[in-house]
Amino acid sequence: MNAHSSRSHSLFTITVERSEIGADGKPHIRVGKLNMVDLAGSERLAKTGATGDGLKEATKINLSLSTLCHVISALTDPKSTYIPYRDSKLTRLLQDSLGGNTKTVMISNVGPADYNYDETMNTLRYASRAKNI
Amino acid sequence: MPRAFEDVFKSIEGDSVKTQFLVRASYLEIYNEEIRDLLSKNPKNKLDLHEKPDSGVYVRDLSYFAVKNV
Repeated sequence: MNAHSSRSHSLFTITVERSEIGADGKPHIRVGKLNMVDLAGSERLAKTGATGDGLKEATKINLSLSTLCHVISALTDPKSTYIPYRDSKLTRLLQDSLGGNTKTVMISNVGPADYNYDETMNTLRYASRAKNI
Repeated sequence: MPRAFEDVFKSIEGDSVKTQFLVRASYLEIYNEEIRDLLSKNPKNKLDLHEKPDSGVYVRDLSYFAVKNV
């Protein structure tokens, strides 16, 4: 596992409120939001050999990531009626960024090492599914 | 990222004088499914998620700072 990598997801949000006097002489307020999200990296428990706190961390990181994955799958599947936003804090906070009328860009970082082949494939599959939303 | 924020302020400057703007920033982390406010004086405090019918999901007590430029 990457010792320099943070084990948390971080979310930096800029909210812009715009108030304009409309034709009726009353102020009209419009609100926009820009979310910058840094997702924690996915880790294979077997490979990192994490135990104790490290293991707990990894399961929680993976909970948010796998819920995000389920949400993405549900959003791309026209037959699905239920989207599990409520299963993790991350997906609840990003609910309107994922499903609403928003523009979302996702950047995936992958390593070139063959040792990380499984993770790389996983990340690419994840990203490819997100593309279909 | 800096360029994205510059862009926000550039488009505000380009707008009419009659229009007023409020730009706010917040920064949080989710660690072990706990939310922490990274701009707070006590970043170790855990914050909770709440929901309002009109504005949706929000983090209670999360600090927001009004920002004027990049």
